Order: sequence, then structure tokens, then C-alpha cells
Amino acid sequence: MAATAPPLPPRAGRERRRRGPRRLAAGQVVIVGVIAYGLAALFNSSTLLKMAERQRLGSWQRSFYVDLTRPVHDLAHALTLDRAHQSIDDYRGKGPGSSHPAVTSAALVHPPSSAPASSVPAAPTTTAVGGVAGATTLAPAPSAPATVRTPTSGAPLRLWIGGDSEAQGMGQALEALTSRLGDVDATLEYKVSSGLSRPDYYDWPAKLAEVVATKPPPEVMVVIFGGNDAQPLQLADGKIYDVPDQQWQDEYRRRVGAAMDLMGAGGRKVIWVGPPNAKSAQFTGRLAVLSGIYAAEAAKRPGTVTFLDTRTLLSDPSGTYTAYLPDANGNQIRMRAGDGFHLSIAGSNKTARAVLDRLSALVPGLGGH
Amino acid sequence: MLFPTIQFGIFFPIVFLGSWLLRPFPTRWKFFMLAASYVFYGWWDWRFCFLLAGSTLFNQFFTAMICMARGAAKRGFLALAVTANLGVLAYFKYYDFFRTSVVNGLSRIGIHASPPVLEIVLPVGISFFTFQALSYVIDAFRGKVQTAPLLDFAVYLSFFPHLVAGPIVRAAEFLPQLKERPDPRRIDSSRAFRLIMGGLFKKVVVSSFLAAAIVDPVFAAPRSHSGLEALFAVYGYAVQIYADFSGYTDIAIGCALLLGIVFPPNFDAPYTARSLQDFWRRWHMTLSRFLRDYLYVPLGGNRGTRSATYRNLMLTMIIGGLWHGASWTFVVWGTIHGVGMAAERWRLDRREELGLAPLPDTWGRRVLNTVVTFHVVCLAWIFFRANGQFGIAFDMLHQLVTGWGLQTHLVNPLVLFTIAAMLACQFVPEPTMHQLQIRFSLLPVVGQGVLLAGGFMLIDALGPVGVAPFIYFQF
Repeated sequence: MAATAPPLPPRAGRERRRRGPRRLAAGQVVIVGVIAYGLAALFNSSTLLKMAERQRLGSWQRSFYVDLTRPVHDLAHALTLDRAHQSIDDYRGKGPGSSHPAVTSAALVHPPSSAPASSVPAAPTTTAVGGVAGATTLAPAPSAPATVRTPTSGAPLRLWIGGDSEAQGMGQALEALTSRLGDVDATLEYKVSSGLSRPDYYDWPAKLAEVVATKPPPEVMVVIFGGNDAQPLQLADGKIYDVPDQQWQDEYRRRVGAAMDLMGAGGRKVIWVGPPNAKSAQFTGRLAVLSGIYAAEAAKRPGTVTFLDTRTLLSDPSGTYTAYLPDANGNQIRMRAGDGFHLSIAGSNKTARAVLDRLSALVPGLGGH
Repeated sequence: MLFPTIQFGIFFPIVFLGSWLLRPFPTRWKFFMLAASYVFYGWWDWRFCFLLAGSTLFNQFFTAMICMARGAAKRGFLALAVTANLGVLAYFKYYDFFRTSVVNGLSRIGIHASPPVLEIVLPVGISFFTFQALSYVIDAFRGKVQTAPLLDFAVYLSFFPHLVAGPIVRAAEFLPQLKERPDPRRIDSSRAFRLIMGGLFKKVVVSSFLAAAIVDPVFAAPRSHSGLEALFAVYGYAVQIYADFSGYTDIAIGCALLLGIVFPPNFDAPYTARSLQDFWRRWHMTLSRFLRDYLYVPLGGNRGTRSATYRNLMLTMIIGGLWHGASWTFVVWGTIHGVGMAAERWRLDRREELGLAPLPDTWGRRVLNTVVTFHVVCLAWIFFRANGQFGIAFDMLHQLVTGWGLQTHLVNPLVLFTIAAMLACQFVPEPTMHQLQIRFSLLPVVGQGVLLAGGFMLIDALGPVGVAPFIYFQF
């Protein structure tokens, strides 16, 4: 093998170069790249800063990236170079607490029901939650009838499903199941990587307030959170707390309770789906704290919030993580994705069927039964 | 590491600088590129690197054996190498599928088998690099390539732009380029920038938008949507998967070009195709020619009877379907293409048999053929998108046939415009795009940099936060 490459051919003549696109030397490509990257960093400085701020609280990466991107953002703002991006963001409309809305999947074959709204939603007030500015605290809504009416194909049940990435698979499976009943109008809104811990990334309380304020509002809400919530929180005292800390648990409990109160206001039924066990024992341990909080908060709101613990639904008989579970015929079916946490299609279907069972218990005459 | 991420945005300039600085020293360049590629691959899961390294050593050894051996031994080494490569692929990709199919099949006749359940994680890109390794081994057997030095083969197999989702570059195309020294004064930068920016736009903006706006909601619960929405969800998916996959390979080809390596094209306006055969000359072109040269031709191609040709076409497309995923819906997808191509062939044969002249190539016939081909392709996409769930595919078909009505809120002007614009773009002649590229290339470097920055801004502002994995990663 030669130690050095053969010499380069002589530089191409001017005429030959003119026939096709002009080719650049590596050094010129570097200059183009530096200009493109530099200007793009200024144009997109708000995105870069947001990405930096979304890093795990208290991590060196977050400090490093924020220190790096904030001056760029300040410079871009001073030079108004961030205006074009901002204009496009404004034109597209902002999601709660984020310039990017949740993915929405609404099924609207059924015309909107003329049935009376079962609740009057709360008006959100923007203050600080857990020391994170821009998030939303929620006032409970006035009461309304505490039972769910019997839906019909002409006036279907308004079901709203939301949450993090687990909500995508589970929600789509639930949409498919309920679509066959003929008397459910399901809407799915999920946001990957979201939860209740980081409203600076996606402000679920604000989103939930928006959902219950829709006309007509949903009659039953199904949510799944937790997969992204076992991370440090920065509280009002400016300190950062992690899942094992009592302060963390108190604050998370308050957020869960507030979300349940908002959704359950006026007699609306809530099905709160907890996260499944994870392959990692450490992660499972942290998730167990969350599930304990969901279960306890749901127990404080009997008749309003039903908690579905997927740890029992999707684990082996001893309660530990397993990727495979037997189906009705005893065949071992893969329930989890390769990452050791997320649900596979079969896992989503199994969870959705369990949710549908809870839903059927809450809604008299669902699906004509 | 995904292409449209900050990590790759930092990784690639480092590799670009290192690559051109080390180009005068081929051995150092190869080690550098090997290290860069393993970092790129190990970013997903460092354990995958062992599989890639194992595949490299195994295939290099067997290729050397094939080149040295004669007669039956040569054939034996080839059989061993092909079996082992396909065995590894089958283990990682198809074990679950076959296990479930066998268990379910046996239980229907009263036999209850319980083969072991294995928790297998599918390594990213295994289908692609296994196919590339197979092309090296088989081409060596056929005498088309000689055993390359181990380092060269390792660079070829792991070269990060094509590693995880193609294009499927053959050893005979790649290895000779390692012997040449590309001119650092003449980088085909305008083409590379065009491919990279276009690819990013297709992936980040178009594919993500259509998925969220219509495809995912409708395919999640077809029965809740009208036939009109189902129809546009299928059209939307046709555009989404094109934007997603061609976007990825465009970025891959562009990045390789900036490093002085030329890849073969992988897409050529596939929805302008006037027949399924034409479609497969334009869609995932490197897979098509792989299947043609390493499956269709060895099966006998069109050298036997007509019925044998139809059978070979069908088999090739069904196996091609199964390559995409371990599920029966992919088999149906491949079967639709196989039956369609066999029918096209039969029609031509029949006309020839009857002594009829070829049909005149009129404008109307071209339009009709293009529209029919597109809709057959769309019909097959329904099964492809159903991803193992026949219920979803049949619900889609049910809604398409029976769910007629104009009520919709998903088919909005922006969805219609995106679908129409992406389809219309395919009919823009290449010389027009080439002229635009020449104009861009004649701009001063500052102007090029500013335009690219504007492109990055548009892509970021119009795209969603975060980037979904590429559809073809799972294959």
C-alpha cells in the first residue's frame, strides 16, 4: 500500500470549468460552510437556545450549551436576524409553551355532537410552576353532571387521548378500537419527549386547559405520562431536585393532582395510564415513584380518575419487565420495542384494550352494549 | 447518529476537514474514515460495532478463500458465506416473524410448539451492510472484483454515508475510488449542496408534515375517516415515503460527494413511471439492481420459458418485499408488484405472440400509464404502511370503496398543495434543475454560504421539533 497518494492532475483549464457547474476547492467549501453555519446559527438562534435549555437540568451539557448559545441568541436578537424565523413561527402558530404544537390526530367522520357540554373548563392563568417560568397553573372548573351519557352514532362520545410518545401507539390503537364501535369520536394529541416535569419543553397543563376549553369539550380524557418525567426539577428555591428527593415528589404530586383536577372538573371522567416497567431496573425504580404518585392521586379522586397500572398489565407474573407476553392462545407475543421501554404494536393494542375495558365501565351503553 | 441533527452537523465538518487533510496519505485516511464511521454507527449502540466488525472479518476471509479456491471448493465457500450472511440477517430480522408464523401455523393443526423466545434488538442498517457484503462475496466469485486489502474492505462496508440506509453501493463501484486521489481543488460542491439541502427539506419538512397532518391520523383509525381522507392519506404516504427515503439517500450521496466519493443514484422521479418495471428502474435503484443481479438472474431471469420468467419476477418481488420487513403485509406489497410486473410482461408477450405492433406512444397513453402505475403503487403502499396489521390495510380499502363523502378537515389546502407540489416536482426536467445548480455554483462563496444559511433557517422553521427516525432505518 502506497504511503502517499499519486500526485494530482494539473489544474483544469478555465474553458473546461465553464461547461458544467463551478467546482470549489476544499478551502472554499470550508468558507461556504463557516458562513452557512454561522448565519444559520444566528437565524435559528431561538431553536438552538431552546434545545440547550431542554437538556437535563443540572447537567454540565445544559450549562455548556446554554452558555454557548445564549450569546448567539442575544447577538441575533440585537441584529434582528432572528426575525424571519420568528415570523414563520408566528405564522404557523405556537403550541403551549413551545413553538411546535403536539401532533394531532382527530377523527371526524362523525359530525360534531350537538349534545350539551358536560363541563365548563377552567381558565388557565400563566404563572410559575415549580420555578419554571411560562408554565401554567390551573384553577378548577365548576361542577357539572357526574355521569357520562350513553353515546349514539349521531351523538358519539367525545374521547380525547393525549400524552407522551407512549400515547402515540396506545392512542392509535385505542382510536382503531373505538372507531369500530361507531359511537366514539376520538381525538389523539401526543408530544414525543414530553411530560409534566418540563413545561419549558411542552406545557401540558396549558394544553390540557386548551383541550377542556374546546367547544364541545371531551367527555372522557385518557392520558399517559411518565416516561420522560423521572428527571430533575428546578423548584422555586432555585435548587435542583431529583426523583428520590421529597421536594421532587411533593412538587410532582402537586402537578399530577392539578392536571387531574383540571381534566376531571365538572364530572368529566379521566383514565390515567401509568408507564410500564422498563428493562433497566434503575429506570423501573424511578418510574415506580411516579406510578405510586399517580395511584395515590387517583385514589383521592374516586369516581373521577381511574388509574390503569400498566406495570401489572405488561410485566410477567412476578412483576418484572418482559418483552414477551402470551396472547389469548398462549403464543408469546412481543410487547415492547427494542429500546426496553416503549410499547410495540401488540403492547399498544393490549394497553388500549385495557383502557377500553375501563372506558366501557365508565360509559353506559358504549358500543351499543 | 441521524443526519438532520446537531450531532451530525458537528460531526460532519470535523470529518470533512480531517478527510481532506489526510487525503494525501491513503492509509491514514482509511483509518480515519474507519474510525469516523464506527463513531457514527456506535452512536446508536456501541455493541452494534462488533457486529459490523465481525461481518467485515468474516466476509473478507471468505472472499479471500473464494478467490484462492477452485471448482467445487470455490462454490462451497460461496455457499457458506451467503448462508452465513443470510443466517445472521434472518436471526436478527426474521426470527420473531418465523417463530410466530410457525407456532401459529402448528397450533391451527393442533400442535403446540414453543420455540425459545429471544429478545433480539435489530441492529440499525444490518440489511444494507449485509447486502453490500454479499455483493462483494458474490462479485469475487464471479471474478468481477479481487480480494481487496482488509482495510479497504472495512472502509467500504462501514463508510458512514451509506452505512445505515443505503444507497447499496457495490464493492466494484467503491473500492476503485480508494485507489484514486480525488482533487481537493475540484469538489462537486454545488451538486452536493443541492442534494443535502433538498434531502433535508424532503425529510424534515415534507415527510414530517404529511405524516402528522394526514397519514398517521388516518392510518391509525381508518374507519373514523372518510374515503376522501383515506384516499389522500394514501397519496400522502406515497409522497411521505418518497420524501423520507429519497431525502435520506440524497443527503448520503451529497455527504459522500463532499468527501470525494461518488455513489450511484438511488431515485429518479419514480412517480413519473409509466409501468411498474419503469417504477423499479426509478425507485430505490440500487436495491432493484441488487435484486436483479443477485436474485432474478440467478433464478433464471428471462432465459427460460415465459411462465418461468413470470415466476422469477414474482419470487424476486416477494423476497424484495420480505427484505423490507418481517411481516406478511410486506409480502403482500411485494406480491402486488410481482403480479403487476408479470402482468405487464405477459401483455407484451401476448401482443408479440399475436403479431401485433407495439402500441403507439401517444400523449394520452403516457398520461394514462403514469396514472395507472401510480395508483397500483399506491395500492401496494397501503399494505406497506399497514406494517403487519392487515386490519388496518383492509379498513383503508373499505373506506376507500365505501366511505365516500366530502366531509373532511384533514384534507386542507396545505396538504393538497404539498402532495401536488411534490408530485409535480418529479416532472421538472433534470436539465432545468441542472441549470439552477450551475447558477448557484457561479455565485461567490459568500453568496453560496448565505443561501445555504437561508435554507437551514427555512428547514428549521418549517420542520417539527426533533426529527423522527427515517422510515427505512427499520429495513
